[in-house]
Amino acid sequence: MNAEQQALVQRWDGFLAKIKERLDEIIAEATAGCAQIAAQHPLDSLPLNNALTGLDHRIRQLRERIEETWDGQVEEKFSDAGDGGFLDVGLDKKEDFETAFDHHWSNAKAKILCDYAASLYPLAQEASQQQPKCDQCGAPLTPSIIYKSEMIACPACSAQNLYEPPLAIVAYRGTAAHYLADAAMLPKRQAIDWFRIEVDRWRRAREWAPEPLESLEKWRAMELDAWTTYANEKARVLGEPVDQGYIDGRMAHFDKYELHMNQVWVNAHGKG
Amino acid sequence: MDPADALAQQLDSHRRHVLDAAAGKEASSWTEVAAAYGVQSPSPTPEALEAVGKSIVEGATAALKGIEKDADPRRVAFLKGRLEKFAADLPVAHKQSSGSKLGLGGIFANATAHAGWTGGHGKIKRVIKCRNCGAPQQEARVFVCSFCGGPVFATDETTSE
Repeated sequence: MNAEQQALVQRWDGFLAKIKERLDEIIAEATAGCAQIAAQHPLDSLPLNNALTGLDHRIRQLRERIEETWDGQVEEKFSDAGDGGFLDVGLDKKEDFETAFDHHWSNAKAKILCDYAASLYPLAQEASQQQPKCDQCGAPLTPSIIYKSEMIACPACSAQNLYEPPLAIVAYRGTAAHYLADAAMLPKRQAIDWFRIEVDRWRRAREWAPEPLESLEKWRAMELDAWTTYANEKARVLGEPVDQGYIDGRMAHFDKYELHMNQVWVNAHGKG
Repeated sequence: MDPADALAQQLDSHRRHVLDAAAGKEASSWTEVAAAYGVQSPSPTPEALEAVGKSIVEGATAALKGIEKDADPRRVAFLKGRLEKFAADLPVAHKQSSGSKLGLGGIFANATAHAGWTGGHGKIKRVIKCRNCGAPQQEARVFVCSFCGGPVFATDETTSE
């Protein structure tokens, strides 16, 4: 790299560092603000999700500045400062940064949601100790499964009671389990992102040669590992068997829309 | 649109109007806006915001009485839940919206605007009672009263009367 190229890379790195600084500031404030909202509305995930939707938008606006600056001011300079290989240096830096940016925000969001999930657990525990009683005569009722709605005939007065599980239990099982499982899968999902970037660059260096079969098989194994991690964690949190149908469904989708579009894969494994 | 939802929308616009005035984002000053709700206050203190909130709740409660019979009971329950917390929430929302250096306050303030959807949910048990004699339902999915033999729920004919 010559002096001009080094200066250009330094300026681009400097710009990206400023974006990262801004992202860190937003994440710090978002984490504190979301914790406050979660504390105010411990059983209602809507305000927290509303806030995260708004924050997603703000983060997207920040991310768009990278593309705008690259397109408007930087790409041309990288093109002029060297051959195609040097432009790739700039593009790779941009892609690496954008990927790390996305992962940084995903990790922050996962932490916010996992903290919320953790705060639901004691509430769900407490709710599980409540004794449901007949709405007609007050006699104790015994649900067959504490977290499922059902009609229960009162043993004392025969009135049919519609039992609805306490909200804390519904919220923990419905949302917290997903947040915790998603967070467990996140590092694997991010490893797949980096792996795909690595594969793209390998292909680019070989004039876009087809991806080798071993690489496609590794990709599939990583996907399977990610979804298995999700399902295992969810099963652990809920105390239920692993939902193999869920894993199979996700993998069928992956196979259909990724591998079955790839001639190398189809030639080796067919579409079965 | 359900009348309760229409009222909830009006409540939202009052909330936005008051919070914007408190943040200095309205053409009218805070003092003018507060006065319009019958509150004399030179600045948006928590007490003043709560007083404005109470005034809005008073108006909304009166309006709700007028539309309650035509509205979906679940939407009414939801709105009542919001009204209970509305006045106390205004100072909190103002603090959230004005405390951000990065302009994220508006996001947090808006996020809590529709809190309370869980109002009517999570009740542990419910018993269906006969509309004629008040006896409880004795058998699941059987909607003929086992005491008086009448329909447990109103039929189309009876509701149209």
